[in-house]
Amino acid sequence: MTVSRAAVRVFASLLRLYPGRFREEFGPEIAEVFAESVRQAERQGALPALAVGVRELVDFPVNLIVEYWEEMRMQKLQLAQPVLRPVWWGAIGFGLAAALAGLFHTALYVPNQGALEEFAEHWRFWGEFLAYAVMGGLGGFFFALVSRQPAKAKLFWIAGSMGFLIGHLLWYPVMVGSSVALFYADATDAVFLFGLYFVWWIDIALMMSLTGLFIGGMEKNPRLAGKLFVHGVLGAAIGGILGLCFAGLWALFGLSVTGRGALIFVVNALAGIFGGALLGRAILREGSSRDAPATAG
Amino acid sequence: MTPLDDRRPEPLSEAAFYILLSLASGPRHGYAILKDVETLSRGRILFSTGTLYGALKRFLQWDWIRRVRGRGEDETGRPRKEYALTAEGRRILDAEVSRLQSLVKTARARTAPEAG
Repeated sequence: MTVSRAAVRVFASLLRLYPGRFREEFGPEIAEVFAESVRQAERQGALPALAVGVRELVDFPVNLIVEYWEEMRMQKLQLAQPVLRPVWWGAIGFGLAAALAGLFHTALYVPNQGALEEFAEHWRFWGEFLAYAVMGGLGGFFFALVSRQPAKAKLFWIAGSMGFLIGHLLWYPVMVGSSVALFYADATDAVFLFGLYFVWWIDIALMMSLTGLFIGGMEKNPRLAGKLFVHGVLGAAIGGILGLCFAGLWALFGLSVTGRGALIFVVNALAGIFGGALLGRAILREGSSRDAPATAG
Repeated sequence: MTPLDDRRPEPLSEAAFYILLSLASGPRHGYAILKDVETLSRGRILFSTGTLYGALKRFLQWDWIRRVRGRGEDETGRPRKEYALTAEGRRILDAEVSRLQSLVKTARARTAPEAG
């Protein structure tokens, strides 16, 4: 595959991030025009082709924000079904769950915590996994109730619990391996901070994507499972990029890595919020497309 | 059709002006508009596809342009979509041209050597 064809495919994937209506109406045309632009620019050399790609990438986040903003305004104008509601509730439910799980996890490892010390000593390992399972379940339950899908409450509860628990379990070897590597690499504070950040992001990405996978699996819909898996990763990635900016500022102001609990909280919250938002959106769209009772609920 | 979103920019942005101007001579598809605007603006305005289609979406909402069936086919064999100015779009473009002419006339009158 040539670089330009790869760029066209990557660009086509990025178009999925646009609001549904815009993507459905213009997505194929945009992809076609981009492919044509790259083809024509390529005839003049690699640099003009690269310029086309860079221009798209630079404009992409702004266009994305503008289109979502327009979408929200149109929703208000049309007084239509509040399509964005499940997005917000997904964001709040799963985002809060991820943030609180991370906070509890951190609290268990803070030394000298008085009365909690003995509890933490005995329950550190199991308490950590229990916290993730409970939070994931609560996040799913909350999402189901407030997005008016009470019939799905049990499904989202179990999917959230399983997604968070298994995601966190799968992440454990990654975390142990990375921590050992960072320790023996004698990493600087900044490298250590970013390493830590990235490792924690993997945790949320795994949890959100597996939650999506379980939701689709329990619905016996492999296509939805795949879609939600991807949305979980994409949402976590968007939150992760924002978290990266935060971590950059953290490092820039020379804040100590000993305050990493706060960093973990922010990373978890951001990745969870965006992961939950995209999961909520994908679930809603799936419900709308087949007019399922879940969304009519 | 009454557009829902009536927040039309006045005066037109340069980018909007060139898109309408590009369609003044007849319907065009997305890529043709992209290249034509580049030519008309002498390379100053280079749209990304997202920016172009964001603008086209709004023009469709405002009833400035409409979709027409194109002559060629796209890669999937479907008829290529083209965009054409509506009567409203042409009125907006003409009004903008008049506004610009008036601006230039005023500026010329003030900056001409004899006005000094």
